[in-house]
Amino acid sequence: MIEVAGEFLDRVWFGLILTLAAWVVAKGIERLLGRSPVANPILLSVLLIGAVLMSFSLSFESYRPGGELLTVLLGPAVVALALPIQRNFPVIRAQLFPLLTAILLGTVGGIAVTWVVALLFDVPAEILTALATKHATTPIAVQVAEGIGGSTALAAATTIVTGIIGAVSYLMIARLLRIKDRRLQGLALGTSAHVIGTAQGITDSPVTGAFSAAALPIAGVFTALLVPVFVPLLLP
Amino acid sequence: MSDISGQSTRPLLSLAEIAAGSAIICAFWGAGEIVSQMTGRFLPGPIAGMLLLVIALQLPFSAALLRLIEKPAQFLLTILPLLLVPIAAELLVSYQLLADHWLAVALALVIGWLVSFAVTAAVAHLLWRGRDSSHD
Repeated sequence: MIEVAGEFLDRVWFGLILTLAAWVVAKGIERLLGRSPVANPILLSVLLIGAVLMSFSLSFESYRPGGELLTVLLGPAVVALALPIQRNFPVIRAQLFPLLTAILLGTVGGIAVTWVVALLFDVPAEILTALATKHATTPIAVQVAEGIGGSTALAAATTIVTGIIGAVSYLMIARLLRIKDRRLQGLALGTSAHVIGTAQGITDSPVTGAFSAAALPIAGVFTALLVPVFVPLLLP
Repeated sequence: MSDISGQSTRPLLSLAEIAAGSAIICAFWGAGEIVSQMTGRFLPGPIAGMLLLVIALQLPFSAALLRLIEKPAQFLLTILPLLLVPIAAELLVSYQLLADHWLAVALALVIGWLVSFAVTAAVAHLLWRGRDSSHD
């Protein structure tokens, strides 16, 4: 037992330090660029990690154990999202029907338009399946993809990219569309960009974070319910 | 009782209280995993745990529960973006799966995200009754 743990711990430090150091540098770059939306710390950290691994010709496997140690903490961190939801619970309960309708239509609309664009470009069915699950949070997306016989790795990849797109651009788009109410911003962010968007929302404002966190599981449930029914019918 | 800055205002949470709060959060995570397994993994364990905690916070004894979990929960929320870095870093390997169709996939993802965001906000805006303006 002790030896197994020792072996694991020997391999953990590198990924841990690399992630933390990349985060520090990413936050520095974010400050330098004056909080420009393109300077998303998650995106920058990933690019920095990639640059370090490449310049020292290290495999991703040398990074992974340390990364997985942080991923474990994602469990309690997602549970902790109950806190901002609780603080906005009266509004959420009073407006439950409008919120559910908005999240449902946002989920369906997003999937439908994604598919139309992808079909115009004639992408293979394997990628189409992965695209259908991408608004749900990664574990849901992966499970749904598995259920309909799609590639889980592809589903995870499209989901992560979707989350980053949302985190990077939601403030800019909200300004463009004149969505000033942070509750609406959060709701739309959590529906369209799952936990990666929610993490950005919480950093920006507690209200955005709360509504994003509330939308997150609901959008996930809609995806889990609708995709297995409709995707097999619609696959070309 | 004084904290690190030497001020002796309201006592901070004791370590025992922080430990209790963290244990409660982990207990809801565990309960979420059990519920998730019983329902055929319909929802991931942590999300089921979050929903269970929201429900528990509506019950009569919730003031004490809220006080215990507040500090550790706030800490976890602060580090949430950092915790997502290793998951996002998986793209460094998996991007190759999308490389052959990168333009189509990029367009589909960007336009699909935009529509999802705009439709959600627009529908909520239309249906939301008695909306007052948010001030923070």
